[in-house]
Amino acid sequence: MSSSAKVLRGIQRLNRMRPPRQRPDAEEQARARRKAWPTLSREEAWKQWNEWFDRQGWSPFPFQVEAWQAFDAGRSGLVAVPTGSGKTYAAVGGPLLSLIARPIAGHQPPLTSLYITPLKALARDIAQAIQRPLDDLGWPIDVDLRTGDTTSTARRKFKERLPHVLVTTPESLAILLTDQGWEDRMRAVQAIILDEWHELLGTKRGSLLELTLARLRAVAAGVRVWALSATIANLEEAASIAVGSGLDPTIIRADIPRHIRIHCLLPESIQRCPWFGYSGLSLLPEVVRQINPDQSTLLFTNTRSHAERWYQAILEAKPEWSTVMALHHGSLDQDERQRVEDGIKSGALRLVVATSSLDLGVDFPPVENVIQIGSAKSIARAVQRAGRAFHRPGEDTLVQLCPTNVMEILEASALRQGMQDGVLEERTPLEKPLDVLVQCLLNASFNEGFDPADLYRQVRSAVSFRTVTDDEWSWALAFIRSGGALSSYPEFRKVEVVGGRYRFVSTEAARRHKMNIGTILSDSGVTVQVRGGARLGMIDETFVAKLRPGDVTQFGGRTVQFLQMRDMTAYVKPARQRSPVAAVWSGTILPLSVQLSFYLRREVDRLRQAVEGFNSRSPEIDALLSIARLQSSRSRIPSTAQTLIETCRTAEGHHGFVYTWEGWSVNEGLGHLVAYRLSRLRPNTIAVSATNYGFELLSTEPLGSDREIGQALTTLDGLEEDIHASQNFPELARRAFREIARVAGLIYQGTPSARKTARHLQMSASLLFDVFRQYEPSHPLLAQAFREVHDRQLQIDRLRGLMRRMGEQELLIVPIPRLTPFAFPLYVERIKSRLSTEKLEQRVARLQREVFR
Amino acid sequence: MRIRIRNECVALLPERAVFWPTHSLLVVADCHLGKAETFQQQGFWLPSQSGQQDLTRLSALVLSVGAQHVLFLGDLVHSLSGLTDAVVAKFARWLHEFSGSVRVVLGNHDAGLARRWPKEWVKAERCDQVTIAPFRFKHQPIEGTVEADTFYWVGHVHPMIQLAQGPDRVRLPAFVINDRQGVLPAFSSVSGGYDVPLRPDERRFAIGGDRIYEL
Repeated sequence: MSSSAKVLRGIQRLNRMRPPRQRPDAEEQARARRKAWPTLSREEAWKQWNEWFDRQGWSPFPFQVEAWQAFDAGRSGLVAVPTGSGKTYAAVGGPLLSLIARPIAGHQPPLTSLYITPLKALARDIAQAIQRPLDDLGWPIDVDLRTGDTTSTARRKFKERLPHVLVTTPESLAILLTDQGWEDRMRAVQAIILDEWHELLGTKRGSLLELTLARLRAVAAGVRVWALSATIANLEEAASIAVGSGLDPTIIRADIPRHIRIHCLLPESIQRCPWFGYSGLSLLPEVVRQINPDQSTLLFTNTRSHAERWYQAILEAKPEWSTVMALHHGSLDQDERQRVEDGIKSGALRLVVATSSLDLGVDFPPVENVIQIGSAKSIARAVQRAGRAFHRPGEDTLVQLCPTNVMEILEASALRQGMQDGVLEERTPLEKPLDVLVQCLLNASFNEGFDPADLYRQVRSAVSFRTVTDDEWSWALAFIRSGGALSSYPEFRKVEVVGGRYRFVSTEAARRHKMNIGTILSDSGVTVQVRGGARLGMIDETFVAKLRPGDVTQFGGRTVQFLQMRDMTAYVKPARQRSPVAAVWSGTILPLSVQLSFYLRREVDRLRQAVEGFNSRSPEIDALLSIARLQSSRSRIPSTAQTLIETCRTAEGHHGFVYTWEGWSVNEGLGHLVAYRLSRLRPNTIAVSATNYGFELLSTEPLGSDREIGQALTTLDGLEEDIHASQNFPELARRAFREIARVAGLIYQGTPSARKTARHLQMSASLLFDVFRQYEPSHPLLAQAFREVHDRQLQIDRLRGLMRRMGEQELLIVPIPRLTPFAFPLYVERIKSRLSTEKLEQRVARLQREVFR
Repeated sequence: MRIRIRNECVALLPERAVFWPTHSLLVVADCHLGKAETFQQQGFWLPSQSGQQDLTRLSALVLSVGAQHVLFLGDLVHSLSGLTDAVVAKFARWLHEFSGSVRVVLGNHDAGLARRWPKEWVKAERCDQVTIAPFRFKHQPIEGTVEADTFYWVGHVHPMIQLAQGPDRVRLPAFVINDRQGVLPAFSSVSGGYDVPLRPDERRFAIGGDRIYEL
């Protein structure tokens, strides 16, 4: 038998093993095509490819052609392009062309292209998009996907043979690299495509992917890496991280001209807009007026809970829209999300209420109307969402913004200024997170394990890990082998060294780690399921814990009655009665970006000028004039050269309101720092609450003299020591440690069913944090938790910059007779934790009337 | 904190133990000796010092209350595999140094231990439960109806209470007591716990540092 006939037999055997697909005739065709790899010259392949574009009525965008040519020239790089602009074809064109016009015709090539997407929900769409031209052109390249949802049958199939093009997620890729003999199966990979790269950059998922790619690059010589990213400020850095050290990436920008116009929905009377709030529902009539069922509309909210509430509110206002509207967010069941996405594509759905779940990836035609509820808190995010809006050549793309409180009206104006200046935020990459490094070592310990010198070289070829030191490396090796370099634990058994190679001590240890691969914290999510019916999605355990059987709540746009909780599933049944309570997911409020903060402070200054009679030339500032006058009469509005601090005394104690407009996480850090410094001068109990705009101090004793407050706010000496000593620092570190413990494999995660059988291995990250602090206080992973709080939560550089700026500014410390419009949201932020969302909104309305009086 | 139960005066101690002065009896539940070693064998980091420290803590407590008898209320050890020679020796030394009597109620984690009781531990008397009227000591909480004149002291659940103020949350080990039984917190310093919901017929005592707070 000739060798090609053997290959053919092999393939036919494999094909018989495949489970039947939905389209058997397509399968039949594919089999026929696979009989012989066509002899296609490079020129012929390009010609066919271009003709296919012609037949679709498309002409390739210049950036697509540029990307194909760059790949053809053997280059790696990054394509910066907005969502939904044909980026998938830009990325896969080069690899497909080079694959079909292989010099050795007649042979079945192995896996040659990996397409990595951060969202497993997108994998199928992407695979279908790649498959389309292949089917039409009769090219025998096959495309398949492997994600966390892939069945075990399909996974076994991949052990036999991988497709030519594999669409996968970072985690599934890491798992593929634990298979016996993965090196041989991946050796021929020529192309790696990193989709939505901006989403991964600056996250531990991204860091882990970097290391996985470094290991892959060592095996697949000559692989070309192409990242696809939305436009961000640091594209060069993003590109060099994607391709790895020592390569000069090509950057291709798809300059699709787009002017985005922000239109802020303003109520007829400013009184209708609350001074505090996140939901924006008080402007429901204004929003509903902007929706026309003849046009397609996307309504973005910042949280899943708000999406639920808006969906319900619109449905109550316009019951006749029920058949053409839908809800889409990340906690809904995949089938439900798929149904909604299909509805958008087919045009059957005219209004979709969504979270960021829809501003990424999913390809669908642009909608005519994009409404954003609440400020996007970042210019880049607003631009990303605007990418969903339909755009007529020569016209602006319109995004309507519904403010959720009066300050967000000002943010709309700031957003517009930032966009006009072409400013965008950066995605700051993480600097060698050690927990990710530990996981990489463990991920490489399967089968025959790894040679430490080789892996060290690979790790340091990843840009974010190029500064890993010999000490850090030795520590990581010792940590996986003996449990730590600081103390020795003779009982510790995880990884052993055999013949110079590090590998798992047992298949059991390997299996346990395999379940732990990845960096995503699996929150104790509970499945929501209709009794005897469909799964609706996931919900936080903490929310379910508050429900009693019989309680009615909104979930996934339906009203359901909670029946019981069993085996991590909340059983519900459809309910007829109304419920004001929407499901709530834990999550944090988006902090204002540095860039938007800058523009917001300028808008505050313009507000001051408007009160003084200067022309504002901004509809938002005009709308806020009455509130600005009230602020001005009770207190001051600071210029950009001033910092405003308001003080007052109530029955509750002494209040200090400090306005920075620097985002809540920085404000929270500064608040606790100032509280610590003031209470060190004089014993005092000071409570701190922070918002995106400033923070409030509330104390039993007077806070201190103006001079003391000023010094506490601006003294840079001893800043880090004082932050470490401040009250909430250990708590923040404890929270950061949770992720570290999970990523570094310190806690056993496993599946819910595996957790049951391994109950004696349960350990909470919080308890482990205490144990570390007690017995190994200088442990590198503990140090990492503190550093993460420093760099990522408190953003110490930003905090220092803010304090320096305030030190140079005039401090206006103004005693106020009663709450001002600026102070009001800070005041409510503190009391809100005591109230449910619904009660809160009533209370805010009442308080606001009182304050305005 | 001293409380009266069935006309007996008992002390709830912030060291996570109960002391019954009438019988000079110190009761601790869920020591989980060898937990660190169990984890290490499975490749999870937990320092061995924690187990030694728990025994040192216990010795100090015995001295400070002047207990003549110590009763372990189940789950003395975490698992049989974690019961290494070093762990056996540590507890043997503790038994040797304590002059009073020691009784060990066997818990679910001690299942294998009953058959392979280390000979160095012979001083400790093993039993399924201990009755000293009006109290009965056993490992697992009682369910359903029981003899009305007996009050049970139990362990097993590692009760914790979560206190929350805004985003600040703190979880504290706790005693949970109703009219039929009292649940002790776990003595082990490396044990987690379960948040107990508030029930109207229960008294809850949280341990905050070296004090006990009734909630």
